[in-house]
Order: sequence, then structure tokens, then C-alpha cells
Amino acid sequence: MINHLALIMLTTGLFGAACGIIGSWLFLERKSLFADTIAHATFPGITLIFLITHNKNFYILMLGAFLSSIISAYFIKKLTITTTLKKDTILGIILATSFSIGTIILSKIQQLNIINSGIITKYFLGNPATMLEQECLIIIAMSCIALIMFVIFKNSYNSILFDPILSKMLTINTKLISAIIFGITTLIIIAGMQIVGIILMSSLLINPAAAAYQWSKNFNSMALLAGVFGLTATISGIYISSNFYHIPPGPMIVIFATTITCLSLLISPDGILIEWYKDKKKLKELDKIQLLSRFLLFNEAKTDPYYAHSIVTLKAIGKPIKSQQLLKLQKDGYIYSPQKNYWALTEQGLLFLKKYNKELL
Amino acid sequence: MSIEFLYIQLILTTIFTGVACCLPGTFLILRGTSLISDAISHAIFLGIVISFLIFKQLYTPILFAGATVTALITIWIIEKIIANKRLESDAAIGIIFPFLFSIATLLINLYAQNIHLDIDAVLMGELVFTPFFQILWNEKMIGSYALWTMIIIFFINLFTITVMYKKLLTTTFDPYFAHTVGYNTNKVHWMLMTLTSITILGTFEATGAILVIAFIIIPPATAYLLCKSVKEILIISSLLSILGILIGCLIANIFETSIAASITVIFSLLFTIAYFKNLYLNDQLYNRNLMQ
Repeated sequence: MINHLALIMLTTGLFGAACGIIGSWLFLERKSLFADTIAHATFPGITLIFLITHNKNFYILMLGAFLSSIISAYFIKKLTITTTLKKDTILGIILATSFSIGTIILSKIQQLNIINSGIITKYFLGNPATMLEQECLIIIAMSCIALIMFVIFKNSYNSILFDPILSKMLTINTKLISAIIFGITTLIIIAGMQIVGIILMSSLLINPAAAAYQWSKNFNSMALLAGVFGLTATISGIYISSNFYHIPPGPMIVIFATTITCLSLLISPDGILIEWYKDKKKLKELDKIQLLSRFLLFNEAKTDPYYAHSIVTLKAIGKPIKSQQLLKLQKDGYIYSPQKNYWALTEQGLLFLKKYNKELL
Repeated sequence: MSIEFLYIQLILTTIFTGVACCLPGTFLILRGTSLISDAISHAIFLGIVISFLIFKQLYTPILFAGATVTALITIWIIEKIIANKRLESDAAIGIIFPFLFSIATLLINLYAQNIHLDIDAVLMGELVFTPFFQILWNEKMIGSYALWTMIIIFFINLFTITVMYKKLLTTTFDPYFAHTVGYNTNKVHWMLMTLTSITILGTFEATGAILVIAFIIIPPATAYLLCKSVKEILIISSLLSILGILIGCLIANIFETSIAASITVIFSLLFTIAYFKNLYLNDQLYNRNLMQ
């Protein structure tokens, strides 16, 4: 028999990878908040089907969640087409409405005192530690289905996403494939109800893709990297929460996923820190050129570029000069000091200037 | 303390909440940044948790300030990320708010297992309990903390929006023109964000983290479908939200469910009616155009 913790680790890891890979489509489609809305919209479905059947079985709840998320997606689409409301307003309306319907049904469930009614609140923030073996297997199966579908429909859906006209010319069935991809997304969101919960689900879909986008602009490598990031986040979140007290796994996974995104934003090849460092380097270089070109601005320099200027004349124009700057340039061999408070260009300094500034010469 | 006294206070609190939410909400939906209110509500949750853990009490000005500052910092971070063109706006919002929510949950789980900052209460809101925290003046009860907070917030919103109405309008519809005329677009934006944060903070206790956005988005969106000018939207959305709140409180009383949730459902019903009216009007206009 497999160790239960190992099974849960395997389930969440595979699920995280599937999340990252499917999420890269959502990220590129700018559907992050759409995913959030769909995740919240599963709530009335779960509660309603629990109220009707009094059954805490995972697949029955899953069925309810699936139906209600499809209905809410239909409403989102309908409102987008027929009204002039902005997209995020529509998402907000659907999110709030579905969540409030769920809340009302939940309060009814609590009043009726149905056995196992505590199971519903488990789906808010997820609780992978209480997953049964059977549920683990279902989630593994769902993740595998999502991954296989990804491989099958990758090329056709990419052409729909990036070049709709080409996809029409290739006679790809746009509607069918979009519907299938939406089905897969919903499947993944529903599978995640137990692991990170419906409130935090969108984070696990978007974060790995957003992080991977910072490293690679190629779709294949981005999706692969997103899968790896999702796997890392889920496994490390589960590991930490199983080894320390009072740490809920769902929020821990989300914190890890967001940390990966933040690090990627900072230290990826064109990340914030790297760009800042490059800018700073460039500014220093500019300062150096500006200081050196001052030596050639005066009349004396026109006949003799190696003329020794007094420091007072050099300081008379432009930015104020620090003596440290001059010493640094002397150390690099660009200028030298023939006598005290007099500075002149060396041959190396003139060559360096010629490379950058042709107008002065 | 009679039941009627409590019930009237409850309804008054909700009405002031609803109207106070409509005022900034109108401009948020016109600017297309309405879901930033979702991010704000989660940020405020984190701010409340941190301030509570430090000062160990609710209802202090420090908690108010701490939560507002957290919300503004969050918005600033989101806008910095978007301005750098590293992420799209929806991805930035979608990443930030689950993160804040998870940090808050983690903090509660680690340091505050037994306090009344319960996750379920935070998600759902406990409007029913607000009248129990009464302010005493000469040993007389003069209304709950929540009621007075909402009244103050409502008047702040009303005053600011009346004074800044022209600037808000121009920066919303034509930011370039506003810039040319000499309005500080940035300042107006941050003022709106501050107003939204304060309002959500006041609303938070009543409606919970998730249904805050119902109060902010749905009545203005309904009015948006029916009206043609911003002034109309402001007035009609306030009226709609009062109507929704009255019916919602009644229904919650009859069916014994959560007040905030029933109000939201009534808001959605009103929205649906407005939607079909809008559809019908559009069809009529379309047909008339065809006739000509």
C-alpha cells in the first residue's frame, strides 16, 4: 500500500503541473479574472446539489459545480455580447451573484442540520490532508485528462488564439475546440476545490503562467516552465504544511506560487532588478564620457588634445566634479596628473572618447 | 434595547452602506476598474488582521488607518506592475488578491486561533451583529459603531464627489483633455481609490470580503443600463440600492438567511429586469432604424 502522504503529494504535484500548463492559455487570453469568477461560481452548484441529495460524495458535488460554472460562463458570454458594460463589471456581477446564492443555500443547509454539512466550508480554502484515496485517484485522472487534451489541442487552439483568420482558413472548428478547452479549464478548477479551494483557485492557474512568461516568450517552453512552477509550488506548500503546525496547505501553496512570480518579476532576464542594474551601469558610463569630453571643450585642446587643464577650469562647466571620480579615471588610465591640480588626457582616454563622441574631434 | 430599535438601526446601517458604495462604484464601473475593489477588499482584510494582531482590538482609528494604507499600497503595487508592461492588469489583480487573502488566513491560523476574526464570518459578513456594539453617550445608546461609521463615510463620499464632480467626470471620459485643461489626473485617481478603500473598509464588517463588490458594482451597473448621464446613474443607483436593501432585508427576515446575500440576490434580480428592459429598448431602436 502506498504511503498516504506520498499519494497526496503525487496528486497535488500532478494537479499543480496541469494547472500551470492549462493556466498559460488563460494567462495569454487575459482570462485570469474569468477563471476566478468561474471558480467562485462553483459554490452555488456544490451547495444546491448537497441540499438536494444530502450526499457528501465528491463526484456528486463535482457534477453540481460543473453545471453551475457552465451556466455562469453562459451568462458572462451573453452579457458581454448584448450589453455595453465593461468586461470586469460583468465578471463582478456574476461573481457576487453566484456567491450570494451559494451563501443563502449554505445557511439553509446549516439550518436543516444535515449530516456532514461541515464538508461544504472545506471547499473554501481546500484541505488536501483529508482527501481519500479514491478522491486522489479522481484528481490524478482529471489532471491526466487535462494534460492529454492539452497535447492534442495545442496546435489548433494556439492558432485560434493567435491567428483566428488562419484557423478559419485551415477549417478548424473554432466553437467546438473553444468549448472543449473551457471544459478542461472547468475540470481543473473543480479538481482544485479540494486542494486550494474555490477562493484561491485562480491564483494557482495564473501564477505559474505569469512567472513563466517572464522567462520565455515561446509558448511551448512557457507552458512547460509553468508546469514546473506549478508542481514546485504545490509540492513545497503541501510539504511545509504537513511538517509544521497550524499552517493551512491551500494558502501556503498560493504563497509559494506568488513568491515564484515575484522572484521571476525581479530576476528574470528582463526583470525589474536586472533592468535597474543595467540602467545604473549605463548612467555611470555616460557620466564618465561626459567628464572626459570636458577636456576637449576648451580652445587649447583644439591644437593639443593632451593639454593639461587646471581643475578650476574643468569645474567651471557642467555637473560638479568629485575628486573621487578623477582618481578613478586616473586608476583606469584615461587621465593623468602632470602636476598638482592639473589634469590631462592620456592616449587611451582620447581613443575611448573617439569611440563615443565623433563631433568633438 | 428593543427589537424594533435594533432592526431599524440595522436597516439604516445597510442603507447608508448601500448608498455610500454606489457613489465611488459609479465611477469605478465607468473607468473599467471595478474589480480593483475586489483586490481592495482582500487587502483590507489583511490590513485588519495585521492591525488586530498588533493592537488586539477592533474599532480603533489605527486599525482604520492601517487597513486603508494597506489597500493603497496594494493598488500602488498593482499599478506599478501594470505600468512596467510585465503583466496585464487582470493578471496583476488576479495574482495579488489571493496572495493577500492567503497571508491573512495564514496569520489567523498561526497567531489568532480563538478570536472572532473567523474565516467564515469574514467571507460571509455578519450584518446581524452590528447593532450590538452600541456607542454610549451619557449612559444612553445613540446608535451602533457601524451605523455612525457608515454615516460619516457616506457624507465624506458625498462631499468629495460633489466637490470633485467635474474633475472626476473629465478624467473618466477624456483623461488627455483633463490633462490639457490642467487637472491632475493622478491626484483624482488616487482620491477615488482612497474613497473606495475607506468605503470598503466600512462596508467590510457588514457584507464580508466577497459580497462587498456586489454593493459596489451591481446597483451602478443596473443604473448604467437604464440611464444616459452620470448624474442620473448616481441618483438612480442610490435609489435602486435602497430599494434592493429594503426588499432584501424583508426576504432575509422571512427566510432567515444571511442579509448581505439576500440583498445581493435582489440586486441581481433588479439587474436582470434592467437588462431585459435594455434589450427590449435596443430592439425597438434597432427596428426603428430599420424602418427609416
